[in-house]
Amino acid sequence: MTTDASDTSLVQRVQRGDRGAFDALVLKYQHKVVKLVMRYVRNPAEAEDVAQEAFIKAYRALPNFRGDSAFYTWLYRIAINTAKNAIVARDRNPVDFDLDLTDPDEPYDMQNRLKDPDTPEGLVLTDEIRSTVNAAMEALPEDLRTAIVLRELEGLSYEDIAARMGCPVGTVRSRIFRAREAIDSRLREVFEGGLGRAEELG
Amino acid sequence: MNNEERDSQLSAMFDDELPAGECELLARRLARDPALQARWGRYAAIGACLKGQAGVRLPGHDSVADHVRIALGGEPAHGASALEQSQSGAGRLMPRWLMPLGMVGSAAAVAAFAIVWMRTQAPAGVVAQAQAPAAPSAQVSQAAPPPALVAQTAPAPQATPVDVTLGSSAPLARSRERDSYVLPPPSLNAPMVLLPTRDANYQGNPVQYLGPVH
Repeated sequence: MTTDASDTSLVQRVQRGDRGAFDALVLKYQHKVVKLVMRYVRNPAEAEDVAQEAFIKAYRALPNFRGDSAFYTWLYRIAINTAKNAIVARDRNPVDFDLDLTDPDEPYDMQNRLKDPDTPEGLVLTDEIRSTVNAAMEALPEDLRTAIVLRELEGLSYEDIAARMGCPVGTVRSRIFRAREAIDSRLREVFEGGLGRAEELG
Repeated sequence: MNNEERDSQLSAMFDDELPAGECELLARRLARDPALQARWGRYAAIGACLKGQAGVRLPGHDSVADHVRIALGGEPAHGASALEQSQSGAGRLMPRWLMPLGMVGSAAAVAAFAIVWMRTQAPAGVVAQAQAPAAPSAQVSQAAPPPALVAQTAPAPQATPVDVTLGSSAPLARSRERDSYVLPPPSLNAPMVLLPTRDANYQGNPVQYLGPVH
C-alpha cells in the first residue's frame, strides 16, 4: 500500500495548528535529513545545525504546502537549499583559524570548541545505541529479523515482504512491529531514565 | 483498542502502511501523546541505526527534534487564530458580516473627533484646509499629528517651520530576519568532529532561533 497517508495526516494537523504533529514529522525525518545534508557540509555538527534550520523553515512554510508532492520530497528541497545557503554563507564568512588560543581575550567558548572539537558524550551515546540495537537484532527470532531487515535495509513494502517471505501482509506487519518492540524494549532497559522515559511516565 | 494494537498501528503508520482513515485518528493521538511520540522517535532511531546513519540520537537526548521543538516554542501555531475564532463564536461581539461596517464606523468616529478637535485647537486657516475635499481617511492622517505638524501644513506665513523628519537620523532598530546488523556509519573511520555549536544558536533568549553560527 505505501501511500503518503501518514505524512499527509500529520501535515494537515500541523496546518490546523497542531504543533505536536510537526514534532512527529521531525522525529521521523531528522536522521534522514541530517544524512542528506551531510553530503554538502561534511561536518556532523554543522549538518545538524543545517537540518535544524531546514525544519524550522519547513514549519514556517508549511501553511503554503499544498501537497502536490510528498512531504519528504518538499522537505528534501528545503534541506538542500538550506545546505547550499549554509555553504555560501560559510564561504563568505570563513572561520578565522589564526586565533591565538592562548590569548585570554579570545572568547572562552571558542577556545574550548577549537581545543576539543568532538563531543565524546555524543559519540559514546551513539555507539551505545548502535551496540544495543545490534545485540537486540541478534536476539530476535529469524522471522522477525528477516522482516525488519527487509523493511529497514531493503526498503521493501509490506506487500513485497509478504511475497518474499510467503506469508500474509498482516503477518508481516505483526513481525515488523514485534521486532521493533523487542529492540525498543532493550533500548529502554539500557537507557532507563532517559530516552523519553520521563515523558512516558509523565 | 489496547496499547499493543495501537503500537502495532503506530509501527505500520511509521512505514506508511496504515490506511488513511486509521492514520488520521492515530495522527491526532500521536500529536498529543508524548509517550507515543517518544516511541515513534525510537522507531526512527532504530531504523537509522540499522541503516548505519551517523549521529543517531534518541528523543530527549539532544536530538535535532529536541532543538527544533525548543526553537519553535515561541512561534504561534499555524491556523491557531482561525481555530480560536471558529471555536469562540459565542464570544464574538458582532457577526462576521458586520465587522467591515464596524471598522468604517470606527474610522468615521475618529475622523469626526479629529475635526472637532481641530476646530477648537487650530487657527481658522488650518481648519479650512483640513476640511478641504479630502477623503475621511486622509482627514484622519492629517489631523492625527500634533499641533506643530498641523501648523506646518498650513501656508500661514507666521507659522514656524518644524522639522518633520524627527527620528530619521536616529539609529534604526535592526530589522529581522553482516557481522553486524547495524551498518557502520560512513564517517566512523574518520574522527568525528562534533562542534558544540548548538549553544550559540540561542543567544540570550533560548526560544529565539538565530540560525547556525558559521
